Amino acid sequence: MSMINKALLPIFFVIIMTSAWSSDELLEFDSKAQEERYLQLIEELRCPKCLNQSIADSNAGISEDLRNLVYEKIKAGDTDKEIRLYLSERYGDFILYKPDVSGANLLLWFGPIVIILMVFIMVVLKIKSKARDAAKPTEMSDSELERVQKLLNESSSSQQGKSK
Amino acid sequence: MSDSEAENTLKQWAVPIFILFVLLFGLFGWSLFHDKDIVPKMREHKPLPEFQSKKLFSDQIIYSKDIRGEYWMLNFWGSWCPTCYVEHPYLMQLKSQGVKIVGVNYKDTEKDAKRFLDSQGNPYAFSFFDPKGKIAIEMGVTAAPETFVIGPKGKVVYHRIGEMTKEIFTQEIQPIMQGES
Repeated sequence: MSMINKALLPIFFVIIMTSAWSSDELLEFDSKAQEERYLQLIEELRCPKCLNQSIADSNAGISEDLRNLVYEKIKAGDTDKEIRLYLSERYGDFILYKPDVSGANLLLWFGPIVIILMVFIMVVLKIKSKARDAAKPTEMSDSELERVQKLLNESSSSQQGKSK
Repeated sequence: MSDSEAENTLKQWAVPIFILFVLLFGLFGWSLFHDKDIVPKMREHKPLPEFQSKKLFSDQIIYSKDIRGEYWMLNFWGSWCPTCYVEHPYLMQLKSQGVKIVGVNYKDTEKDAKRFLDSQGNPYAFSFFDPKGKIAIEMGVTAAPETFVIGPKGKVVYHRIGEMTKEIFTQEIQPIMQGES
């Protein structure tokens, strides 16, 4: 009897393991493309109860429910965008690993580019303005002109004195 | 472009660039340091969505629109949830104080739910039966316990993720129910 038990034990073990493993694998899809959409979507959706796991990787109850919901919605003909929108309306952008480029996210996506462009334009304008300043003939004040004239006069009179 | 025009353009752009810079850094800072592990409360300050289910321990179908007319607490609970045992005595106390509480029995069986209520007491006027978590997803719930406060006109005025305590009720919910906020 014990020998029979020993022989049956691995078989029971395999049956139990197989049924547990296959509980999530029994989903039927209309096409391979539909199945691929499902697999990709559940990878892109974040488990709202976990620290950093997709609903595909998580064993949390909510992840199981969300996987079922995604499956039902795909079967019902909803697009990926509609499913993402449905879930983000309930769990916010928190649930999306790839949030849409819209709303406040636009600022995060394009803000740095806009700032870099504006700073670049400002630097170009500043350099141009400095270059123009350098090329300009220097204007002298009346007192400076007077002093230069005086120095020139002194220099010419001293040269005349030497030549005599 | 003349020198004076270039100078003017510089002056015109300096302030908007500075403001944009400060805003962006503010946004980055806020995004980095605010608690990202908490799911946003997307249903708060919005109308209670329409949902329906079987009433717990009955074949009657009940609707979310039944929760109207006065302030109601909508509490998600399950016999499998340890924190639900912790908060339950306080829910019983609230019931004795006249607070109206509706339950959503979440991912449970009627047998286990009955055993739970028989042993712990029943603070609920009635409970929705949500074994597959459909109502929970509709409400943006991630686990039990979570509690919503529904206003007299059917608006979700408060959402608590986690245990309901006396401190939370007196400091955050009571002022809402008394119309102080």
